[in-house]
Amino acid sequence: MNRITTSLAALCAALIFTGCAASPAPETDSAQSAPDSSQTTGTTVQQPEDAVSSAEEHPDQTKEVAPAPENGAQLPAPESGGQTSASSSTPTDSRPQTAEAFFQNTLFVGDSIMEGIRQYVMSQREETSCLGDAKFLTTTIGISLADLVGDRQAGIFYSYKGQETALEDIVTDLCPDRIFLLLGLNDLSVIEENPQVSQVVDRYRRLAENLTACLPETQIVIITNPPKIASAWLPDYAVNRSFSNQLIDDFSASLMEMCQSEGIACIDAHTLLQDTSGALPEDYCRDGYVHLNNAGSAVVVDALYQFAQEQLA
Amino acid sequence: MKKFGTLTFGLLAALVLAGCSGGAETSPDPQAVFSALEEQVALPELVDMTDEYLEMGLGIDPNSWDSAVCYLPVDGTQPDEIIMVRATDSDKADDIRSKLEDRLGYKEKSAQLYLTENMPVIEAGVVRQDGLTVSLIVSEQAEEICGVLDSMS
Repeated sequence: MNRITTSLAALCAALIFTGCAASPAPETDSAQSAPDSSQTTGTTVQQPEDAVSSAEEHPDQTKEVAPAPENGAQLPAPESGGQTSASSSTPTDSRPQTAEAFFQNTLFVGDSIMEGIRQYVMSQREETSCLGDAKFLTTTIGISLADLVGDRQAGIFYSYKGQETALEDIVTDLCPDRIFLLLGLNDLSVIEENPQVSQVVDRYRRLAENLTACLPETQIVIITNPPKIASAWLPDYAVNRSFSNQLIDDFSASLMEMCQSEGIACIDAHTLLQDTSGALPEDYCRDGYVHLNNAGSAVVVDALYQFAQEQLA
Repeated sequence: MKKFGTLTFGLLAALVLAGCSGGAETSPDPQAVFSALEEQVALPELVDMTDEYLEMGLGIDPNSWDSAVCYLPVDGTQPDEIIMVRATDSDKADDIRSKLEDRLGYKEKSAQLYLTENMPVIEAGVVRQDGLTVSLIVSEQAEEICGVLDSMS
C-alpha cells in the first residue's frame, strides 16, 4: 500500500510539474524574457520594418534606386494608368531617391482622402522608402476646414497621442518643416446643404494663416482634392445632396487662385486625377464615391515627388 | 484499493487543474498571435502601422511595451484595426487598455458622423486583456480573432 501511495504521489508530482512547465511563464517573467525581436520592436520607433520577418525579407538596403525623371516628366494619365491590381502600388520612375530627404520632418494633414494616401504610403514602406519619414495626421471622422478654423463647434478633432487635440497644438508639438494639407471636401459635402465655395476657400486661407502663425518657418503646401466618380450616387452622410464634380471643380479653381494670391504652394492633384470627362476614373476609386484606392493614391504621391523635384531644382 | 485509486486520480486532476489555471495569467506575444491570425483567419489586406501609429496616434509610450502589433487596412476607409500590445507591467497594461478603449470610442464617434456604414463592425469591436497583453479588435472576423487569442492565452 505504501509503495502504491508513493508511486501515485510521484506520478502526481510529475504530472503537475509537466503541466505547469508546458504553460507559458508568469507574466512578470514573460515580459523580461521576451524574444529579441520584440525588444527591438519596442525600442526602435523610427524603424519602419518591425513586423515579424519583414526586415529580413525587405531590407532597406536592397531597395532599388529609381532613376530621376527628366524635367517635365508626365504623370500617368488616368486613361492609361487605371491600375487596379496590387502591382498598381509599385513605385514609378517619378520617385527619385534624391527627393526622399525633401520629405524628412514633413507632416501630411487631411481627412479620409488623405487617410487612403497614408495607407498606400505605409504599404509602400513595407518594401521601400516612400516620402522619407513623413508623418500623417488623418481621420475618418469627417473633419472639415470649418472644424479646424472654429466655424463649426461639432467637437471634431484629430486624435493625437490618444487625445482629441487642436491642430495648432499638434503642429506646435511636432514642429515639421513642411505641412501638406488635403482638406475641404467635407465642407462641400457633409456639413451643410448649400456650401459656398468662397467661404470654404476662405477657411483654407485662415487655416494656413493659423498654422503659419504657429510655425512661421514651416512651408505650407495645399493639395487640391480629387474629383468624384461620374456616378451621381452619394452616401447617406452627404448632407449636400447636390455635391457634384462641378462644385469640386469650382472649389479647386478658387483654391488655386487663393494659393497664388497668398503665396501658398499648391499641388494640383485634382487635374491629375480627372478623366476626359472631368470625373475620377473608377479605377482610381475604392468606394464608388470619391475616396482614392492605391492606384489613385499613387498618382498623388507621384505628384508629391515631382513637386519635391521642382523645389529642389 | 479501487476507492483509493479513484480518490488519488481525483486529487491528481484537481492539482493539475489548480497548477495550470490558478497560476499567473499568460500574456501572449502579439507578434506570435498575429502570425497565427495570418494563418488561421481570412483577414483583409492590412498594413503594419506599429511604428507610425502606436505612439503618435494612440499615445502609447514605446517604453511601456515589449512586443506589439498595429495593423490597419490598406483600404483607409475600412474600419478594421488589430492592435495588440504586451505591456511591461500591470500599471502600463491598465494605461494601454484605457487608451485602446478611448480609441474604440473615437471610432464609434467617427462612424456616427461619417462612413456610417462602418458602424456595425465598430460596434462589435472589443478591447480585451490577456495577462499583460491588451488588444483592440475591430474586424468582421472579430470572433475568430478572439478565438485565436483564447487559444494562445
